[in-house]
Amino acid sequence: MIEKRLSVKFYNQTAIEEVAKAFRSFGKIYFKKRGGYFLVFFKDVKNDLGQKIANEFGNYVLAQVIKSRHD
Amino acid sequence: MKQQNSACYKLVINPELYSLSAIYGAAYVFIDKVYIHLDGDPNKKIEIYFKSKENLSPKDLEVIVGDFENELLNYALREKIVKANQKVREHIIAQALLSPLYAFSELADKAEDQNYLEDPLGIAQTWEERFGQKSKKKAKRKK
Repeated sequence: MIEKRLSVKFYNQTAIEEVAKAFRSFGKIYFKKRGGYFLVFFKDVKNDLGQKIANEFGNYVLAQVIKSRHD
Repeated sequence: MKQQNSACYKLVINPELYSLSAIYGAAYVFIDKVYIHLDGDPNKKIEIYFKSKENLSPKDLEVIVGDFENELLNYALREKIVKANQKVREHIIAQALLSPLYAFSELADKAEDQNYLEDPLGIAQTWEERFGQKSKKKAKRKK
């Protein structure tokens, strides 16, 4: 299982939820808020691409956060 | 401040020099080239982590981080210009939006001043009233 920590000061829950939906096909993704961070967990990720998917997930969330600031 | 670790780069930014929106703006430009991760405190120090995607050498990553810093400067300058010109832009937009209204109200005022019963151009006359006699003369000439 891979874990990604996203600071609540830079990332928001709505963006994480949206991206988690988009990444559903890659495996089980769930998150919780703890200690000023969103802890995102990637489970049963296909084809051993866990780390790459986690990194892409982070970039996608960042893009969503930036987009939401302009809306 | 830069710290490099194989294919990962850490850049620490002073938020007093660069705003968070400038950082977001610059990050968005490079999001397709590298993995960007933000951490730290937006009020004290912002940490930006760059992780290379496939087929990127550490040197290439260093170049991208340099370009990112330039982009950050670009965004910071843009923000300053936007703030400096805000009142001028608002004035121009207000003028652009309101000038057709002024023009319309002037036309409406003119239209109100004029009486529709007056006919200075003679457009309310019938054809016969205006040309009827001439045509009779022409008819006589032809005979």
